[in-house]
Amino acid sequence: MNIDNLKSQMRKGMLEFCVLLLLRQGDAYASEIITKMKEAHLIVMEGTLYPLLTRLKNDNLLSYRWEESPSGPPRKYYSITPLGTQFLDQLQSSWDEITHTVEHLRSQSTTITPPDINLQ
Amino acid sequence: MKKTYSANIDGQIFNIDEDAFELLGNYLNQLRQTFSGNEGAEIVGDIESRIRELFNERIESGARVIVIADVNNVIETMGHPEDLSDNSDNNEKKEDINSSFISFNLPGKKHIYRNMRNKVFGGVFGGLASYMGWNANIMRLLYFIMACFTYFWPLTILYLIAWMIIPAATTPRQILEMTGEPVNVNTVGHTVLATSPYADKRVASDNNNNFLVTLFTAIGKTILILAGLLVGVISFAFICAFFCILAGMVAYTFFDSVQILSNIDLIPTHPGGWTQIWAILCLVLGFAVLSGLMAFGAFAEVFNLRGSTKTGVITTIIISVMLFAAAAILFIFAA
Repeated sequence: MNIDNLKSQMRKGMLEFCVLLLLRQGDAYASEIITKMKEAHLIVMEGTLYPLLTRLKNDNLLSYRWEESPSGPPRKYYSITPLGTQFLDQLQSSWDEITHTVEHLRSQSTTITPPDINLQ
Repeated sequence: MKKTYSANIDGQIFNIDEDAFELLGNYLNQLRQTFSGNEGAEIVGDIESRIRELFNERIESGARVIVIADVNNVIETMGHPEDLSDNSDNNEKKEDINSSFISFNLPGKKHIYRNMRNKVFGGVFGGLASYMGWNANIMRLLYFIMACFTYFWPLTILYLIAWMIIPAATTPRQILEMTGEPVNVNTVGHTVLATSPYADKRVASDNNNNFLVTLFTAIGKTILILAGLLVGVISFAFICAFFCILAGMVAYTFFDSVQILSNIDLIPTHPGGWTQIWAILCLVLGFAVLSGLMAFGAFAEVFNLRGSTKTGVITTIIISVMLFAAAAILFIFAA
């Protein structure tokens, strides 16, 4: 079992969720999303974001519009669609479930075995 | 010193070094292969516009030209295509991508180029050595010994022809193709980085076998100049002969004078003599063209003039071969 592989798998599964969360706070263009995701250490390589955005857009969870930028050519501003909000709510509830289960297991495991198993 | 291109990246013009341009083009091509279809075109378009932003930051911070390091930074930031492809959740697509990556990693097609990084004067043996994986200096030595045994000329002429016909490997892609390495982002980046201070590499290799290379270069240039001079003189002589025969033929036809032709031992009155004269005329012209081409090639390389193009050389050779063939046919008729 490769720990790095597992970690990146976990991160990958969360990426869509995080992008939708970010866009619910307000519209943004790709570079803004990248900056925020990088701040949160969610993305290492920027290239992973673009296929994801396109996929979400093709699934009608996101939409975009072109907007003039103060410098350079127009930018693609992404915003979340009603369908996306719905989807996000579902994701959120399942996330809550997962965290709840995990927290529950963790609290149990700490009482039974000493916290030797450090996933770092 | 490097050549630069101006490239339109998502609507903005950038001055970009030749090698950086090559690397970026390769990277985008690989992305296009990774993300196929309409969706892929959009993704690559988005990535391209992000690349424009990143380059623009470089320009705003004072850079005037996009160099290879900038492109490498961009590739590091965006990620290598093989890492990005994992993201696709579509299984069918994944197979697609995998197969396209297999074809990527196959050894690239090998081509013969003249090796400009390992050359004494033409880079022919450097290129052959990297093509066949042999040692260039041993090949040079063997060639030299063989040349001694064959009185130099046949092999010198062969070398000159090879020099003119084989193109030089100048771009990173060609350098990779020369050794048969696959052309992809990693290898191109590696080669570009390794070759970008072009002169440094040359100096380094000079230091390794300084004496040998200098010796070969000196011998080579001298032989080349002598060969060029000799072939030039021969060509001139053939041209003179050609005009003499032509003048003789004109004199005989229009003024009934045999003097010029008989002076050069041609007798038109002899049975088949007239055909023989035509045959000799063709032969002489063929030699004149061929030796002229060689002289031109030799001098163009020694003095770093713009050499003849491949098609030009081939056309000239074909013309002289046709002249020789015509001469042979005419000789048969005359006999």
